[in-house]
Amino acid sequence: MNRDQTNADSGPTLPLARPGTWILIASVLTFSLFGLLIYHVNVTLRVGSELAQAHLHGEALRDLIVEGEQQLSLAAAMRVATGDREWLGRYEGLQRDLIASLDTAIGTPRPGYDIGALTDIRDAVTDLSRTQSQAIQLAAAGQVPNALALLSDSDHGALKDRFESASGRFMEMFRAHLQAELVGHRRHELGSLGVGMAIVSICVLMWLSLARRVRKRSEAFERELVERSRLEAELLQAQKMEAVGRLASGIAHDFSNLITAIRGFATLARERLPPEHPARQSLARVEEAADQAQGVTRGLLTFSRKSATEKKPVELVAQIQEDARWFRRVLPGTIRLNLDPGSQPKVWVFGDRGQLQQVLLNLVVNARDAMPDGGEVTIKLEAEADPDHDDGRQLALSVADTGMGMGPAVLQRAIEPFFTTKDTEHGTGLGLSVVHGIVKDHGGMLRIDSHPGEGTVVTLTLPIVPAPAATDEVVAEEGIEVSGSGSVFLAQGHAYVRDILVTALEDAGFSVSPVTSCPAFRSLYRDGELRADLVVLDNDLPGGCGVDCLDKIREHGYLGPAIILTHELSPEMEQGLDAEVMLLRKPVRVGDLRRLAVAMTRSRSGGEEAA
Amino acid sequence: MTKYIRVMVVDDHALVRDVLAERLAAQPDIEVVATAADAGTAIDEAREHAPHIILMDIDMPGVSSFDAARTIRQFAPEVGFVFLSAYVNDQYIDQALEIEALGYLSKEEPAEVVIDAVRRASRGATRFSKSVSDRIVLEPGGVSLAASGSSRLNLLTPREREILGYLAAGMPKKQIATLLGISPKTVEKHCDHLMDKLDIHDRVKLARYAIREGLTQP
Repeated sequence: MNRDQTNADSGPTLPLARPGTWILIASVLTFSLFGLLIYHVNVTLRVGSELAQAHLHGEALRDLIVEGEQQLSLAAAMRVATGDREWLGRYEGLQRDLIASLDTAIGTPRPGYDIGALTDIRDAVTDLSRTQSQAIQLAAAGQVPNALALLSDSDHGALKDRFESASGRFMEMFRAHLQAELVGHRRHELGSLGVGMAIVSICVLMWLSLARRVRKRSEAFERELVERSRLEAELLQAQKMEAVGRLASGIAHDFSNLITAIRGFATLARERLPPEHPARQSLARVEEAADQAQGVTRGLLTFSRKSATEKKPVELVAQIQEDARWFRRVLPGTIRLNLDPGSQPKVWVFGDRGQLQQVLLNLVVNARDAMPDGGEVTIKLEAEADPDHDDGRQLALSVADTGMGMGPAVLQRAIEPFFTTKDTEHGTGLGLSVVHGIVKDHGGMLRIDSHPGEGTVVTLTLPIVPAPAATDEVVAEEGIEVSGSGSVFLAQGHAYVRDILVTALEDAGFSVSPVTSCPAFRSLYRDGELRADLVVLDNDLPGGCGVDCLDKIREHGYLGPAIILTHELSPEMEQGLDAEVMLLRKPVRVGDLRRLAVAMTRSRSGGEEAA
Repeated sequence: MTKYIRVMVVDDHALVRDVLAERLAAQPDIEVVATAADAGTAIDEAREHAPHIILMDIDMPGVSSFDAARTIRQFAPEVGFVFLSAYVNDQYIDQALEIEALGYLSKEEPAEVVIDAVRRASRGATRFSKSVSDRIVLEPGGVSLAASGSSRLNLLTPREREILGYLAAGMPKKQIATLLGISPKTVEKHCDHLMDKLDIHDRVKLARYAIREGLTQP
């Protein structure tokens, strides 16, 4: 029900980063992803090519060694068996090439070549060559059977095994190296994949975050639009109320004039009749009725007067009692209005009187519309503890009806602008919305309790403020009348101001003797014409200072109270005065001066009476 | 009896104008020399009939009542103006004071008050509705409209402010007298005056007021 709470729940609006930032981040991430992909393809191609090449080289070297050794053994065996010298030449060429190739491989090893295995192969080839050279020499010496025996004995076989073992170990080591290279590359691939996944994850998170922010922003926009619509509607309603107020004011004005005429002519007619004429009484009744009617139009004028919102302490008990008759005017005879002002004689809140009137009027009108068949409206004031402040008090102002009540669905939407259960002829759907707006603006809360068939209680709480001690406007509005008695001697140089003061003091019940200057004042006193209960002197009088003037009449025996109006006020001046003198620094309100004049004469007469 | 107060009644509402004129004319000392339905006509009528007092409604269509009054003053400086209005409006009061009107009455006032205002005006005296005179402020150079929000604290003299501060701080009057080197009776008198000026006669309320106005610390 509470709009504040709704707003608070939704949290503050998330600011969207500037579009440039988002584009920059997105571009960096995209380029990173593509860069990573290109790098990865490049590395994979290079590593694949290197491994293939190394594999080819390794295999070629092995083939060279194995085939070289076989060719060498064949050439040695053929030289021994055939005695052909050509085989000797081939043998020597093959042996030289094989040893040279092995030396080159050992001297400039490629990655993955096992130098130990290569050295073992070379040593095995060297040892085999030595045995084969001995066999060739034996065959050349004609000892062919011995030579053949040498090439086939167990020692020679052991050498061959050594060669094959070394060759096998070389290839084994080389293949292990290639395997390791492949595994390393795979690890590298996994790393790249991880980085790629991380970038994609960041992109996804950013996307989600952006979507969330956009959603929140949209919701905030939506709320703002609703709020704006509400405010515009309230403005429209306020303008309408203003227009209605003006209309009422205009009508009241015209009525006032008519009533003045009726009253005036009735008085004239009465005064022109002889005292015993029977029509005089009737005319007096007409005058009375006109006076009552004038009171009604005066109230209507006060009620419809719309000024700019001005918050000040307002006493609600009196206001509601005063406004009750206007509330009764909007209620048909079938609806009874009850007022329960509570136990407190006065309750002050800080607010705009006109707006608070509007709140109550709206609530009373709603209550009326909820009771087409009649019932009761109860306006109740109750002071209670303020739950938000330990030592604070708040006012619970409720308007209860005995009408049809509301179901939960209607209740939930009751303060929405434009929501109404009335037909378009009777409701704008803004009554409660306006009430809520005003109550919120006054730092209060609105609570609605309702059940179908059990009536509705709308309660608004407003913080209670202390009674204003000395706020002029409030006192003036309260209409505290001051009345004094006795004679006041007034010395004031400014003719127009003097006239105004004379009127004001006379209105307060004093008889006033005005003079324009101090010499005139003193001479009056000397002549014994001054028998005043209060002296009001303007210190800025022409022809002498007011304080001096007072001193002079004090010398002549005037001991009564005095009010000195002054523009300049020095501590010395204050110290030199006796206790019966009140200094008032201008500007002074005429109302204040009148009040103080009454207070000064009262305290004196009270003192004298006590004495 | 010779009727010596010559009055002109200006009101756009015919019935009101007539009833006012008749009520005034019924007085032995008042003669209604002319009536006018608007301020523009009032200027011509004033020129022709030379009234002493012009009783004029403020809320009339056409020429502003105050402009008409200024124009009339030019050829008849002695004429007195008593204004009538349904509204007590700051702007109206200000203008009425500016042309030194002898009266500003709310239309809510009974006819007797209007008649009295006319009689006073004929003597050069003023009559304002209470709601109007309460808002008039005496200033060094004359009168003006009350500035809204002015505090009664301004009515206090420096010594009274000082004493208010001590009182609010809970200091006994005797101690204040010793501190200021004045007699307890004088302190008593200052207290009476400041309470009268502020219209606060309760010491607790006085303390609360002083705290609110920043004269003492809570």
